[in-house]
Amino acid sequence: MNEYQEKIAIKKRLAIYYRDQSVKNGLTDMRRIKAYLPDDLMFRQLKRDLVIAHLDFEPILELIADKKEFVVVSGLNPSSTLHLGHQILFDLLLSLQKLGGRIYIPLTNDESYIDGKVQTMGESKRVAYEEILPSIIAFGFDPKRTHIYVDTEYPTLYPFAMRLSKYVSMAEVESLFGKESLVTPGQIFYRGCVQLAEILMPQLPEFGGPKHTLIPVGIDQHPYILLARDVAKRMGMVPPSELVMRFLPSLKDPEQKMSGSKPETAIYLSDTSEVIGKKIASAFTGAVSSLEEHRKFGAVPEACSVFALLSAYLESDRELQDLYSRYTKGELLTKELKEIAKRCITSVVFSHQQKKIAAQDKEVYLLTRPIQSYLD
Amino acid sequence: MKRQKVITNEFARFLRESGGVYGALGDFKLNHKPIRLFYGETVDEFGMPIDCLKYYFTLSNLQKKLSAVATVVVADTASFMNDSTVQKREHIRSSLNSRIELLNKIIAVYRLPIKIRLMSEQFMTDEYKKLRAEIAKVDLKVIEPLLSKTILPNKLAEERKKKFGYALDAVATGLLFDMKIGPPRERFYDEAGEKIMPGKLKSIYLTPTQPLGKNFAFFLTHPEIEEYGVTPYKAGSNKLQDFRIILGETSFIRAKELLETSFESENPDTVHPVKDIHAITEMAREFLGVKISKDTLSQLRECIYTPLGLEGI
Repeated sequence: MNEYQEKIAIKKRLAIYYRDQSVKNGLTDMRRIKAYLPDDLMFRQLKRDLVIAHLDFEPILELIADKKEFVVVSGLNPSSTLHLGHQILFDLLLSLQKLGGRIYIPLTNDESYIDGKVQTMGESKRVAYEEILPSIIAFGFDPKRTHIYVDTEYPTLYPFAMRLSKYVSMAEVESLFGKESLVTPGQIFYRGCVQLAEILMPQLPEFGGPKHTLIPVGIDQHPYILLARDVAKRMGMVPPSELVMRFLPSLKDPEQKMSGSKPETAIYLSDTSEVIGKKIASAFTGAVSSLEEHRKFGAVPEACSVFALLSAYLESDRELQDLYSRYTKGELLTKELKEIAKRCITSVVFSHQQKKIAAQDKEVYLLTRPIQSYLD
Repeated sequence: MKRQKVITNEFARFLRESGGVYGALGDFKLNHKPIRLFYGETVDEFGMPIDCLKYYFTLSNLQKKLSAVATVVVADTASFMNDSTVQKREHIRSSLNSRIELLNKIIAVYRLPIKIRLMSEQFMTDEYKKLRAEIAKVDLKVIEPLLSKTILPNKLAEERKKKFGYALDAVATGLLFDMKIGPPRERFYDEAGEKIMPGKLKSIYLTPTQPLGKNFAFFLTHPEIEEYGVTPYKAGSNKLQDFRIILGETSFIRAKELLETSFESENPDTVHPVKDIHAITEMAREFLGVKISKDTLSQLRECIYTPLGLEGI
């Protein structure tokens, strides 16, 4: 019984965490939007509560309803092979592209370097071009509406970031990010200016001028958006909108996030089916260890790292609902759940690996248009 | 607006069972008869929206239930108060005449037990003059926060200069009666009235009137309209006259188009503009004594357009 109570306690803590996160610092939870969004526009990440909050998403929805284009910017730190936690973000970007989004993906190898996630700039550049870019192409983005660039290789990004430094004060940067994440001059310049440049660049005249922009982020990146909104107003641009995503939990602890730097917590998109099977077999679940108690009390899917994988990746809503119901009642055993998860995730990863091998025409995705405005 | 959960007696049950009731304010112990019941409306140059019918029908239903004296107060003076140009005043004057003519026709066609009273006539009565003088003595600071919520932000400074005369007339009119029916936003007038004369007025609010022909995104980007709706009796409320069914102005074909392109959902947490029109056609059907219920469009034609002679538009 104690074990079961502990699972319930995890479920409660997670519910409170996400409830609190989704309404603080100007954010709003997704209930109203989910109530109004028609079925044909309801994307899986919203339906499955992988998107938990938003800031000013309504103007984007207006564009979606009118079948007009909007811009989505989502950066990625290329310090390791992609894992399933990243794929959730790319799945969301794909959903948004289907709804009319033009996608900009800065690969922030400069950030990887200044935060010490890679030893050399060359290493982060290599990961970006050889590992991340083919993976992104493999997700199936439309090359005409997808623009990828590697920060250090996009030469006019930094002069634009330098220009933006005139619109931001050190006090603002410190209050939003905290001194602990602003230890080196590189971190100050990146967080205070470069990331702003990535977010606001699509609103420059060479990209068509001010427009509605949407930034999907993890909850820890919310300060970037607050700063970008303030600076956008000062520059006569449209303050960017934001979608906040739930993190995919660590395989070992549903209250921690899957992390590329901790291999035991993550399933990489390069993992073999054998490795995937082993990782899932040893993952934390929402079921108690005694079969008798499991049958009696049932499991707690909300506190289960394996069920979280299925919530994110199982195609069928009906099947997911059925699994949830049976697992909660104790009818579905952990072993069976893990087997289903293994099949599902192996299929997702294997399909990605095949597409990655076949990925071609990388150049058409790469953004090369230089920034001229704001530089004189 | 949060629904008020006030009342527990038989009358409350009746209100709850009347589909269009959205909320209520006040103590609903009704100790004396006849109860004076009213609904007030102003007029603009665009004509009478179909949504007025909801109020006339509900007023009539309540009259029957309570053996009340039911009055529609047409705020003729208030209709001119905020429009300064001569041309616009002329338009409104003409609209006012048309409104009263159409209202008389509605009363006759549906046999509604309600009477019409002009606000200008009301203003001339001793009862009103006395009450208005009392209200003028009230410290404005006490009720200003409530009255401010009934005024558009860009007109607030002007209304302050006028010492909220328009709003106070509305409050005073309410206090002449025992019970009123109105749209949800009028709760601010009624709450001000409650501060001035506690326990005097009981108010019933009908579901907010929503524009037709608008998609889901409109309501997400207009939370104020989602919450309070547009003004039911003013077609030009929020400049949305092209998205309302205006009796005598909107053709049946256009009405059909508006209904077919409107947001509608099974989710109870959203607005329901089409269901609201359906509810109006249902009430029209009942007042006409037609037994069998049909779909919204058929009832719109058979129970509203045809009986009121609006088919040729």
